Amino acid sequence: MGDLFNSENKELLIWAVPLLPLLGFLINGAFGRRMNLASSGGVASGAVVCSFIIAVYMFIQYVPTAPIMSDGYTWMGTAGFRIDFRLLVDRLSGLYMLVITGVASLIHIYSVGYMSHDEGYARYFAYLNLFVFSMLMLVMGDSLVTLFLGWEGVGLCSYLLIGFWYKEMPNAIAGKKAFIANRVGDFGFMIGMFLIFWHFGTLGYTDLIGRAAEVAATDHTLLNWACICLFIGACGKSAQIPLYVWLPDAMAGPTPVSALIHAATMVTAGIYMVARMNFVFVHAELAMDIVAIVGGVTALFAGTIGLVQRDIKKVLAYSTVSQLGFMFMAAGLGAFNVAVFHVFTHAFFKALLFLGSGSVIHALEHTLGHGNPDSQDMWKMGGLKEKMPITMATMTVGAMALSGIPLFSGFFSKDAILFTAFHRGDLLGYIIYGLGVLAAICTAFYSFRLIGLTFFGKWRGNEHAYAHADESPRSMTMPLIVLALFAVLAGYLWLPPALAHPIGIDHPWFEEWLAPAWAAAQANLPEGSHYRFSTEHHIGAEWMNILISSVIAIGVAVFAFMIYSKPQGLEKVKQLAFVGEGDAQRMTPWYKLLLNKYYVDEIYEKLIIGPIRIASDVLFVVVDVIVIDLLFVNGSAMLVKASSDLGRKMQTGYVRHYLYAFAVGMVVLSALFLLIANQR
Amino acid sequence: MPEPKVVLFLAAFLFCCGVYGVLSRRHLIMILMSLELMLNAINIMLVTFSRHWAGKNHDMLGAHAGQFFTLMVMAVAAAEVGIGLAIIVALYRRKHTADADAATDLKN
Amino acid sequence: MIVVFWVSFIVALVGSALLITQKHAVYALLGLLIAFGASAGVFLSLDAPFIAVSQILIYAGALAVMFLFVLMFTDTRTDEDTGLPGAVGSRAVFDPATGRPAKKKKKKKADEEAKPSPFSGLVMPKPMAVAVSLALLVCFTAAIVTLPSGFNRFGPLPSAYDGINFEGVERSADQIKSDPNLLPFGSTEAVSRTIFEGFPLAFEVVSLLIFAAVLGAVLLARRHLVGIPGTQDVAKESGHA
Repeated sequence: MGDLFNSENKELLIWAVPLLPLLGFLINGAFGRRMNLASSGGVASGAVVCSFIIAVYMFIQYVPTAPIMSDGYTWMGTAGFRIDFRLLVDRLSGLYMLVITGVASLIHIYSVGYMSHDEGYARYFAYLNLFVFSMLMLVMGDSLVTLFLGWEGVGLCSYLLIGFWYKEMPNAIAGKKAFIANRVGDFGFMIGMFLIFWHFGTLGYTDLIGRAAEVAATDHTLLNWACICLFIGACGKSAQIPLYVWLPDAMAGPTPVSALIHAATMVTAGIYMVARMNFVFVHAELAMDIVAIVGGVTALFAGTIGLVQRDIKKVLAYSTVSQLGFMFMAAGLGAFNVAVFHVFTHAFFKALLFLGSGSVIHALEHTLGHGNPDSQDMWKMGGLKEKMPITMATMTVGAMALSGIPLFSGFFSKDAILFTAFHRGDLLGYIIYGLGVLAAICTAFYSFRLIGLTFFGKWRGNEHAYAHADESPRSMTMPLIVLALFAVLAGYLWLPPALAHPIGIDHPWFEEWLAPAWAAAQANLPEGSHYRFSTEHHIGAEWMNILISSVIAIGVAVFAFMIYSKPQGLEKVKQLAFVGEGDAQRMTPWYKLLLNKYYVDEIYEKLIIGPIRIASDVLFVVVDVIVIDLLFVNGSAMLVKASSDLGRKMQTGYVRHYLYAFAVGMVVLSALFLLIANQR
Repeated sequence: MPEPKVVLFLAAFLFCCGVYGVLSRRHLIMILMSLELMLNAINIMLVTFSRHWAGKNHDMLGAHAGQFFTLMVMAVAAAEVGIGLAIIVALYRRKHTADADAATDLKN
Repeated sequence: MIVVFWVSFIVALVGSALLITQKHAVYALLGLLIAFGASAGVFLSLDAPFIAVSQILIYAGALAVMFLFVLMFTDTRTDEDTGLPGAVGSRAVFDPATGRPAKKKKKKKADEEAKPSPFSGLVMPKPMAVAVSLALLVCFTAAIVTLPSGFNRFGPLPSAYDGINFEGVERSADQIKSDPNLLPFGSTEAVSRTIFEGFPLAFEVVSLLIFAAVLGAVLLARRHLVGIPGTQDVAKESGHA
């Protein structure tokens, strides 16, 4: 073992990071039925924690000097086509690796407490470990193909975990929805991969980066198409318009899953992919603009829906969609490092918020019963701060980070995004900035609406449930506290220059750290491109930006909190939302529109799913029943039966007859040979 | 020295005698004996070609390859006869005859 | 040598004719033996003394004795005078439905056996078999006749092979006798060098094959075969006497 840790073996040791969770999956998958909660959860958490420790070691020891290219083998290889199965841990994937294993460790530990009353815990931990493995393969693979392998793996795990309580129909349907929406995206992603392979003949990052200059000189139409297709894939995975519809429904899964998969890690895979391929994207201006606009619109769109949701997890889900929109905004403006920074901070505070909401749900489910929608309805909560102080405190920290209250991590990353948009200086930049500011207002509002409704004011639900609600066990609160710490501190890795310069930091760690990831793209950018990282700083503009963001965030947060933590405020909200009294009470049109999520699901149902259903019914009857079943399946069986009946009669059983056949064959063959030989 | 074509004709004749025997006989041992005659004919052919090669080429291994294959055929024939006769004995135990037409279990 | 060849040629023809015409299995076996012995003569005339001796040892010695033994175990009178009712002269002896001998031609057989003839020891020629094997012979003969002229006569052999370089060399008889590295064509030394230096793997594999054959023969011919009804009674008879 000592040998394993010397530097020559880093190429091998790095495999331990993804393979330990896989081992955990195999153990839990194979023997889970015979394991109790402690051993099952212990194996799963242990695997991920060990993986985290190794990841930290590798990250500190080797990644700063040079990327680790692991040992591997040729996965597929034909003439002119070669895919290696290797891991590539450079600064970008190393950072992701650390976030994934770190957050996953905490969530695994949290899950031991959360899933203690569920009988399917072994299955749960097996899936969760498989997810961590797939996610690590996604970020650590050295080519788009290995990325795609992980991409599909996390999609599968997401499907399995959304439908974890598969006995209830809506959960199963939500799982299917996620799977199908992702398939649509994957289709685009594959087309994008094919386009890149078609033109460059390789899909490995190192190969492609080595040819960045050639990429820059390539026909931009092709690059635009390739990038748009890749972005469609990212839309599916990272829940952007028009494929975002699965993510809110994905909240049907266990809450820690929502925290890990549907907030912190998997949904950011799209950002990772775009950031990974940055040296291609920067040359596809049209695709970049589409990315930015889709991101901005999604951020605002999902943010407005989040304003009115009653389900605590739905609010967080729409918030996640909205924050992913922010990330794509940054990526689309060429600030990939800012996008990754927001991924980084978001992972902590969103995981924290989800785990906090899980803690609340766990406390209420205890009396309300599992799956009771009341346990997630914020209108039936209130005043829980007395009962669950740790949850309340940590979630408030998370909400502050999310809404961008100054000096919390979300503030720094979101501010950087808005500043990037503002600083761009053209129409697109201002549009994106406007969308971003509006979305930030929504964010601050729904964050503190959530806090106010859940923890403050008076209890509005079942008295019995309130009486029995209690702080969650330590295995659940401990991760909350750790995540809260990170939710505050993660932002300080990249202080904006306006704040950093006065205290003597010229090169913030995060920016410095990721610089090599964009070096190839930056080196090949033409002069005056929007996507060049500017070297000079605009301290004045930045201060202005910081002030605007801070005022908005604090003002809106306080406003929302004041309304929703007080009964009078709630009355006001009801007056705004509803018209009329008693039975005649109706929702106001805007409220109704938002509550029904702009009717997107219904529109999809009418426009896409309905026609597909009709077409597939027709196909089922014509192709499946008549052509395949009757003609091919039964037809071929009948043909075989008829011909073998015929052949059966030829078997007389007399050895003599077989010998005759043999001898005659011999005669015919030798005569044939003779004829052919004499003809030459 | 005999002429190669004459020797080959002898081999062909013996082979065809074997074929006739296999086709016309019903006693399994007779069929087996005819098979042996066919193998023997092949051996003659192999040795002929071996000698022919040796008269044209000057490498020792190539010249003796035909004879080596003859030995292989003999070994295989010995194995085959061993198994074949064992099968005949087993069949005789079951059917109380060594007639090939009695063994019609493959029918239909 | 040419005399040896022609004598062997004729004897081989006679032997094979015996094999295919004789009704009695032991006579047929005798014919086979004659053919084998004649083949040994052919080998000798083709400068393959080692093969000739092996032929005598393996075919004429071992195989023929094995055939004799098995003929002793089984019914020698089978074939045309099988003893089974209605087995003579007809191809459709066995009723396909029952697998048992059919009975229709019993009378004719009795007639034939009544008057002995000079051909009574021979089997009736089977037209189909004759046709097929004759066709084959025609094909083969045609192939032999059309062989290129290089096959008209055998080329001269080198007087010996240099066993170290495997090359044919011209040496006097005295030199061949005195030098152990010089091996004449077809000699035991030359053939064994070929086996062990040219084809050792094939040689080893054949040993495995024979081993498998021995095992198979023992298993098949064993008296007590569990689960096979035909052998069950035999086991009872002999095992618990």
